[in-house]
Amino acid sequence: MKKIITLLIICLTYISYSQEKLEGEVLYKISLNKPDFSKLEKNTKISKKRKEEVKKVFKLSKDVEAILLFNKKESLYSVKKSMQNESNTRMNFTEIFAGNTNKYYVNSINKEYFYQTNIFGESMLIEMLQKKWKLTQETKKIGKYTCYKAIDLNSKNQSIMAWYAPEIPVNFGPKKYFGLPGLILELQESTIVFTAIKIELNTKKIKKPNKGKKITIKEYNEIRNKNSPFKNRRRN
Amino acid sequence: MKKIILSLAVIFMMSSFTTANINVDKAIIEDVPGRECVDTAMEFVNAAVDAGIGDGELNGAYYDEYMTIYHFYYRECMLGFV
Repeated sequence: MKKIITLLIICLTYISYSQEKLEGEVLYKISLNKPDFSKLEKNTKISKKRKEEVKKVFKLSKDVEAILLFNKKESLYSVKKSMQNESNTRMNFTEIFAGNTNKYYVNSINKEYFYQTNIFGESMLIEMLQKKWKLTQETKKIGKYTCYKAIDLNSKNQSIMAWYAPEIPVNFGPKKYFGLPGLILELQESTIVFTAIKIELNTKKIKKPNKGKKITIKEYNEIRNKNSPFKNRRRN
Repeated sequence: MKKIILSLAVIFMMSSFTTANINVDKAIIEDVPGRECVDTAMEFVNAAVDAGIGDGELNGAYYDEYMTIYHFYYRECMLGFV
């Protein structure tokens, strides 16, 4: 009987210890996918000058790094500042698609999901919607973690794939991606790929973004529809 | 007679003043500064989409990213860098 009680105490201590350790930071490397210029070359409505400029920006778009801070209940994702400063004077597609100067905040207890951005000249806290994921049994190793593949059902042609680690049972990830039964260690978008290159489990303080008025996605869409330069434009 | 002439003069002045206002408004609408840069920035966004940037839906999931590219290029154009 004594042995069973001792064993139970050890188990409980281990479980509570593991749960307490469930906070830290992930460093992601973000790279641009290899471009395919064949469609661009064929488009006769776009001038040669503009085609060359786009190719040049692709060439100059270097990898960037981003940090995801997390604990048991919340996470905060942002692109590393030093990287932003280096490329301030030039357009960098990787940086823009990695999240630019935005801050993405998720609180899974209060179900609070939003990002802080600056658009139309003012700061805003815009609501994010939780993705609908299709979980698969496909696995691969990322570092020491076995990751499972999930598909974002909201993405165009279901082209966005996440690889999450159930061994780190928090439902956070980079940018607007969260809601999986494990930390996202790799995320493949059509333009860029996020790959976790370092995971540190330690105590990190998360400061909730608070610059600007909080608006719902519906309100944001209304502002967009009113001000968008793309609203009356057709793609070439 | 004097009253009629005075009334006519007032009406004439009022009408010319109104016409002048309309002309000014028209002039402002027609000469938006950077109109060329608006088109150039739009062309750049379209070229980026053709090269595989985003999912091609300008008002869709990558709206913020397309807007950032658009504004960046527009600013560069206005500063005379493109």
